[in-house]
Amino acid sequence: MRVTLAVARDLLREALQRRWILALGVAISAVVLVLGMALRMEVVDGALAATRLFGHVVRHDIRSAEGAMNPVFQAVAYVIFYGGIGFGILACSDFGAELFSPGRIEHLLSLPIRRWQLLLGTYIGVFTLSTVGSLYGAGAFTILLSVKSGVWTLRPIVAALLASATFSAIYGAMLASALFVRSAAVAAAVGGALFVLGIVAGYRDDLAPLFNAGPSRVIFLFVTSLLPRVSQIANAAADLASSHAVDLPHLGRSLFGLEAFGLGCLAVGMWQFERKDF
Amino acid sequence: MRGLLWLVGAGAMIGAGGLLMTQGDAGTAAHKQRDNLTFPTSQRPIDREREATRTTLAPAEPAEPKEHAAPAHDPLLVALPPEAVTALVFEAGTILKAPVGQAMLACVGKEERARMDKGVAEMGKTWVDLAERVGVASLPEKGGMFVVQGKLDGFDIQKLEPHAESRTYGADTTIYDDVREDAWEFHAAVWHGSLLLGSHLPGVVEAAINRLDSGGAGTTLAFDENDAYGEIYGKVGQADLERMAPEEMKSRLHDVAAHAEVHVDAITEVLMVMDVEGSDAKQVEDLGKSLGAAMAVGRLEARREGRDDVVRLVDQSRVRPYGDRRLRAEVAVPLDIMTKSMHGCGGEE
Repeated sequence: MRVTLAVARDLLREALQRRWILALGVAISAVVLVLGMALRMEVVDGALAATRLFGHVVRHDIRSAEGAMNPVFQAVAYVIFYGGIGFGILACSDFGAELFSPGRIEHLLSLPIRRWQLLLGTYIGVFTLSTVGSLYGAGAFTILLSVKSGVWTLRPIVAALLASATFSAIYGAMLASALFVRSAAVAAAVGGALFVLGIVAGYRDDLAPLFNAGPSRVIFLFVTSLLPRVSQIANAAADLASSHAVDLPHLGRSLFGLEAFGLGCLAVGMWQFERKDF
Repeated sequence: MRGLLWLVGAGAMIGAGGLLMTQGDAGTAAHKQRDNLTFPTSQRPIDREREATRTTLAPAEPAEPKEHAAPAHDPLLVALPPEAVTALVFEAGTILKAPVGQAMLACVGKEERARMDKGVAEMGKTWVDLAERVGVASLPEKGGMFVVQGKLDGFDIQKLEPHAESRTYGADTTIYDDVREDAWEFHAAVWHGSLLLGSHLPGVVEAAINRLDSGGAGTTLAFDENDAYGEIYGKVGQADLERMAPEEMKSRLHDVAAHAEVHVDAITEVLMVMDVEGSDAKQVEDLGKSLGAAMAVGRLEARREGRDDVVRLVDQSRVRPYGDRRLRAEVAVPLDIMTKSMHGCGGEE
């Protein structure tokens, strides 16, 4: 396990040196800083009376602060979820390609590291990276909005963790693809395709009636049954962030299924890894 | 062989993942159940449907035509006194079939129902069957009037008021007067078998019949016909507004609000829109903040009591500054608040 974690740690060290990752950190910090200075929320006895951005009234409805903040937390959860996964697909697409680049992989395999440790370590490293990124983004926005509105909640942070879990499943497929075609572009395309198909899969029950009853609908339902339910988990994350009811037992099943998909993809990658000579 | 094991393991994991995620699909129902309440801020399709099926007045030539007065068509609105400080119309036929109406009826005991249906029981009917709409008005001289619209052919007021004396009034209307020695009086009439008019004040019923017989032409209404939407609609005067308000809001409402326009959607939930108008813009804004604070306190209490249904309603309620010296309160009212003051449901009234 120590070896696996050492691989993950190396990946994190490498990620921190990347301009993309640093730019994301700086961008989140800058947005939070600007919002912190420009956003004014007038809270009177637990009711949000007015919201001003750069001195202009952007919202004049008077309602309970918690009720008023729910749609804001919901929007933040959606932005972090979809934005985070989209960014993650782009920013992490070349980790696999670089790991298996000629020279480097031979060097790594000459060390006392097993192949599965290398693959799992990379996967854990990216999962940690996405989790830290989500927590930083969600945490910064949540603290800022909580300080401004007086509504303290951890729910948007929990919602961000769901985004991280979803991305890790997609990344399992991206990493596996790098073992078939050592290309960052292909890995990004696989990630992007899974992202979009996952949004479709989340609405499979609504979309299935659009297909004629028969083989086409059965094929659609079968294929989408295996895909991560990206939009479904995004909706659950947003509901969670905005204090709406979430069916936790079913969400739990979806998350376990999601991780099983990610690990399954990783196992496909491992199968290919074992077959390859470097 | 070892490679094959990875492949079999991958298939098993992806298959199991698919199975788990398919089971998890049922969780989307919770997301779909989330709804945004639509408050009645303008005419809804159901209002237009009701309006289209409703009998309207055929305007007769008024004796002294008033300039710039639009012809009125709704007999119930014409019947309500134009000088009313409060005039509210209840779409009783719709409300009583809606969840709130059913909840309220459930609070009324059998004996009480029988007492209420006195006068119509002989027709083999109940007021719930008969009343399509009910209008109530309070007048500046501390009295009021009610109007019930429905199929009232064959309804005999004397069964309701056995001591009443009858007299003919207008074209073909009979007014029943019940005047007692202790200065208590009640006047009622059934107009064209469709409107039951009643008031404790002298002359109010006669005036209403005059307006109705003239076909509503040139009549000033208690409120605009365009504002007749929702299951409850109309205007509420300062005194009634204060009486209806929660204890902590009474004095502030008295100081600030001149009157309010009310619309309530009661088809599934009770959604109230109240446009309050005052004389001082700052005071009106402060009133809005007080209402917002009251909502926040209500939400906190509901959360503490674990009443997620109430929290959901409060979350969608809001107060919005609306034009000059006006504010619009959009409030979703929990059903039990509507029934808790009723005797049969634990209240005292």
